[in-house]
Amino acid sequence: MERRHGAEENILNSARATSFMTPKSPIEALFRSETLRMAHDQPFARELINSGRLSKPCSLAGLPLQTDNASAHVRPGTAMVDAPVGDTWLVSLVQGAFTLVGFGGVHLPEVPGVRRIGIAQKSADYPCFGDIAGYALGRYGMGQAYLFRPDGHVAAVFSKPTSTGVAAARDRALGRETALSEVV
Amino acid sequence: MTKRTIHASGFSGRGDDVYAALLEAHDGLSETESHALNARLVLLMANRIGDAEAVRELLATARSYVD
Repeated sequence: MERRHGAEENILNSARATSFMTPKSPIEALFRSETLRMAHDQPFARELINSGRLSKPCSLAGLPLQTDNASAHVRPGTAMVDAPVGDTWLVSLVQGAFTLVGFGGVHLPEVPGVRRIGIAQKSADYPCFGDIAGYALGRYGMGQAYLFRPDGHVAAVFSKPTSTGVAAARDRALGRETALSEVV
Repeated sequence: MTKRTIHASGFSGRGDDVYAALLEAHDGLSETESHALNARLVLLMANRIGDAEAVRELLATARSYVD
């Protein structure tokens, strides 16, 4: 299902990029040329220039393997954003296994099979790393716990993570059926 | 040059959706009909903004790009 979604997003992006690059009516050409004109100094217009979005990771937000939380800084379903932590990078800490990462003052419960990592936390019974120049907390939000899939997508976001909630989100990410109601 | 203000993106990452919707609204219209649609849209958006000063500021910015 996620791969089908990825393919559909690629096709949609390609169709839209084609329509931006080769306008099919005078009005489309007009919108395009004025967008380009304003893009010289207007950031909002720069965002509208579409010469292809295929270099952006596709978003899986709203698909069933994610436990959605639309108010999260990095929404479930999107690929993680990197940040310097300690003497390494967040991406390298999260790879290859389900990982629960706590940013700032949030305690991480123990869940079998889920690695735990604290960022900008004083001390805990799991590895902790410093937040370099506030990048990680700025990108993920203070006091939030993120469950990352082994492929680096955000599976769920918690402000008060519990072991049952995290386990349910992990099971859901694995496609196991659980009686999941509100876990955030 | 009239006074121009600079605008950060307010699209929250949905800029492509907005742009596509805009072009879709014009789909199949003659050029005259498209200009009329744009005029209605500008009036609707001006009404949504409401504040005369804010509208004037956007008009000045749009006007500032006229060669």
